[in-house]
Amino acid sequence: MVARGKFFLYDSIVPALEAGDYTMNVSIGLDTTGDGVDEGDLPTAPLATHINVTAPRFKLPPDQALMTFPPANSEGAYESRLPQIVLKKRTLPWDRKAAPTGRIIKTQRVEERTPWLALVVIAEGEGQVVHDKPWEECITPGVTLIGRVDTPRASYLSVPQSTVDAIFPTIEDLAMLTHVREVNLDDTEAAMGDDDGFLAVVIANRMPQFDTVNCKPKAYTACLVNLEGQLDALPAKTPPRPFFDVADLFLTETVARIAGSASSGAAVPLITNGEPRLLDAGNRGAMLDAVRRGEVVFHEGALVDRAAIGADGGASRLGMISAEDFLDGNFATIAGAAAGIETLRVAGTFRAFDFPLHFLVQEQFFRFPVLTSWRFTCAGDGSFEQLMRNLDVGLLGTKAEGGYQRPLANCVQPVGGDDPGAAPVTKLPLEIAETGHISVPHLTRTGTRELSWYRGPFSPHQLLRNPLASETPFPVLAHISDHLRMMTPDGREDVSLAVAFETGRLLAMSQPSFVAALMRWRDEAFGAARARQVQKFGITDRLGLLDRFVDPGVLEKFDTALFLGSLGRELESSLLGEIERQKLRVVGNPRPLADVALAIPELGGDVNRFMAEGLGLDLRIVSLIAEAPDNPRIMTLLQAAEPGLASDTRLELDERVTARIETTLEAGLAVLATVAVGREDFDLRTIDRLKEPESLGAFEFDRFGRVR
Amino acid sequence: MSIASMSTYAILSAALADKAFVAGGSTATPTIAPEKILRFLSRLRMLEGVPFNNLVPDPELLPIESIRFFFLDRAWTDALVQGAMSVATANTIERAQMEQLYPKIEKEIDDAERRYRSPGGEPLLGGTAGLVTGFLMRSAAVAGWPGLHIRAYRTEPADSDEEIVPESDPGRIKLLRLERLAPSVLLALFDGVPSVLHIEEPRQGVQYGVRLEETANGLWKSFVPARNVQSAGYVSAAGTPVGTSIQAAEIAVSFRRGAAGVIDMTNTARNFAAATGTGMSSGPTDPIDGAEFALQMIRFPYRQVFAQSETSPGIQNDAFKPTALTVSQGYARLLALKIAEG
Repeated sequence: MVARGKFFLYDSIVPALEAGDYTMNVSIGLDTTGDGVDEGDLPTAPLATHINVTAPRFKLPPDQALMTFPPANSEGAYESRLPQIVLKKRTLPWDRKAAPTGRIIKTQRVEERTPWLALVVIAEGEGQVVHDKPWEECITPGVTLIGRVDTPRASYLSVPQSTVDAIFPTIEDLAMLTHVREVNLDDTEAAMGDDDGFLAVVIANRMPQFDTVNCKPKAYTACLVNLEGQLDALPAKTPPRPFFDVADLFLTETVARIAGSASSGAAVPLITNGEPRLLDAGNRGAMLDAVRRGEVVFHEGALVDRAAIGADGGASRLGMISAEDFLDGNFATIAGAAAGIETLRVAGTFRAFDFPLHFLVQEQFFRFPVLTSWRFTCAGDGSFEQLMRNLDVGLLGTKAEGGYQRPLANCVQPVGGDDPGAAPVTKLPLEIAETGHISVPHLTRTGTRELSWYRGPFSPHQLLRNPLASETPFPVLAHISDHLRMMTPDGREDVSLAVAFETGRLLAMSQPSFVAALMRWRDEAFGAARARQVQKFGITDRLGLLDRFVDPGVLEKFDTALFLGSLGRELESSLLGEIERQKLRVVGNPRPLADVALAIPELGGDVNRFMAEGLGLDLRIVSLIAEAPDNPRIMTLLQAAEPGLASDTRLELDERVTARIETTLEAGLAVLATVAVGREDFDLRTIDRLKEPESLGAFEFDRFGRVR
Repeated sequence: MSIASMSTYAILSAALADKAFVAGGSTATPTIAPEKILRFLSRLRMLEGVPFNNLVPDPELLPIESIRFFFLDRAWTDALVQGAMSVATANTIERAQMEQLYPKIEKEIDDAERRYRSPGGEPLLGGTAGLVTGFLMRSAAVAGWPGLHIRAYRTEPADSDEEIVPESDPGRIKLLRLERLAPSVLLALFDGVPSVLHIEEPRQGVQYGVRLEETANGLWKSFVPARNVQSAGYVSAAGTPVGTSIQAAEIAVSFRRGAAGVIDMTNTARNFAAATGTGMSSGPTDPIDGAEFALQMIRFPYRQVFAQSETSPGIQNDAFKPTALTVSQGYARLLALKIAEG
């Protein structure tokens, strides 16, 4: 692995197999020497296995582009930097072959390390990137590609021969513009998805330039193009030239003129619904009507019919006309040249005309499949260094008149006249206190509008953490935001901390999971901690159980173990273990799983006889039932049988028991009689002598001898 | 307060004194508050999720293309935390409990806030919460150069500028938070008061290019300082190693006729090979390869230095020195090593 902050550069990493379809043929030869067997007798079937080595061809998978420079859709001073793209797969630039190794093209030899990819940077107006076309159309007609294609529809770059000669790299350049970088992944954002730290880098051979001729930022498109089969289109080696001039930016006069017209048409709205039509330029009235309706517009010498759709879906470009003629309504020049109408297409609401270059330039056009492309703008200023050097530096609360104005490019002509001054100010000037507080409008609870002081968490001064800590009545912990509202000496309220409190409360409330965690913590941790604390106060270990049974290692951290509740568990498990080891001493003999049944001697003998005696049935019937329980005849017999006492049994009891029973019966009977009759002696005429008691009290007194 | 809650209060106080509230049993030092709650509160301390309007109440405080340094108001962040904690207290006894516990919890958050941002390969730092400073930067540089390197130092780092001191180094100040709040607004919080601050162009996308200097007649001169591809150090016109790019030989970069900005690679490579001491040759056996070309064309990331004292930022180009292995031979050796390692 590379050390942090370092990297290795490798020229190329060529894969063993380039992308394509392969057939692996396996045949086995058997050596039969000395075995007395003919080789022809042991045939083995050949095995043909198909292998498909894949690699991107027309479309770069989105995860393969790790980084582009300049950033896509960015604007800045990139004049001294070469655009580049970083690819994730290290062998990607060598996965295919643009031409067979060893072929000589324009005095240059195709090497094994010659990549099939190139990053070309196209200025606005030099070429055209066309998206979403069938892949067969994405390559110069006449060039055939063999093998699989990874996408049915692709993009291509259409460029004339002159552009290719001017800006495309030569074959020898290709190898120099591609390399592999091995970097340390530790200090990047998880290595941006790459796993091994090897990255393939494709650099462009062109530094984007600011358009000093027109003094305008210049838009560029960087395209990663596929060069398969088209290496012979690349330029030959050129003689050296130590200087370059920015006036070289454009290809030809024609393109320069059209490109200027195109870039000035930036605000032409996109036309979505138009019909093919051909304006009769000779009909002056119709033309003026169209101009009045805004359908026909004048763009730097070109007259464009925005309402019409040309043959390929673009707006019709009626032709060239001078400004004077246009203002005069003299369309004669157009009418004369109406035969060859060119079409322009409006590509987007705020984009320039995207015009088909081959209408304008009569030369061979090449089409290169574009794997990926991105746009950026080269402005005269705005490099990282310039931005950082011109930052307005200060402590928070510093009032600056305005931000840094990017300097104009040095080609801009100074404008004379008086300074128009700043725009009228519609709000009150910001009131900033020296402490960093600002004055903000405050609608109070009572509905009055006031000004209050507010300061965010950032202050220009070093602050005490708790400025009121020394004042005892002041709460250390605020429970509601009103605790934190303060009055300042000037009579205005300072709501900074109250706002902070409320913000924190709302942020907490916005996360139900946090609120739940907080409540759970209160419920569980607090209650449990209280229980543990009470438990700790109650521990008296008279038997020395802890010393005897708990691991000394745990005892060392007695407090922690107690708080965590692990002490109880330790004690419990040690005790159980000890009991298990000495269970004979501790508990005694184990009880058998089942008790042995006791023998009943009275139940010995013939079971049927017992049954018959007990139920008072004939022994014969019981025996028959026992023999054949299902026989219906026996059931009839059973129904007919009359149960009766089969035998009398005399139960001999102990005399003492008999005597006790008799005494008890006598006593009970006497009580009953006393209660029923009274305390009279009981004889035959007792009933006659009985009188009704006069009251319940008399009755009770008579019977029980009680007075209430 | 009733008698029952009085006794609860007493028990709680005693328990607190004995560090009884131990919830985070899994961490090395048990904490009162569970890890999940601490994490949320420490994120709050780092102002995560706080609306930007509350941070910067008026756009005039942070104009376009500006950088604003500040001290973090601890009272403000404490109020933020107290607000979040107040969600769990509904009655007097709960508030009383919270008042007892809060100082402890506050210390735990102080510890936890240093764990908020922990890049790989750096040891964790602890300790009490000290002074936190930071800056807000609003610039097109933030939007156009994602992944800026921000490094703060207590003392100006020594001469060996290309060595990156780890964040745990005593001379360096830990970054507590570094985040883009908006596409062009960057917030950084430091664990201390830095005396030197470096903001560096993103290093992961090393760039290639040339030095451009306008000449008197409106044309542009373009060159690269010569480097030895074996040692990656600068070499003078005589071929001897030199320290800075200014002393190095200037190798002209050629351009194609008729195409602005398009480098004539063949001739440029020839110039590279012709310069003394670069260790490159353009012969048929050892042609100039992609790695060698890239090494000559590497451009340094720019480093902006903000310092409290008037220390000279030095020569910016010294901030970065690429180290490539001896490209042609060493490459093969390294590959052999890797193969041997399996």
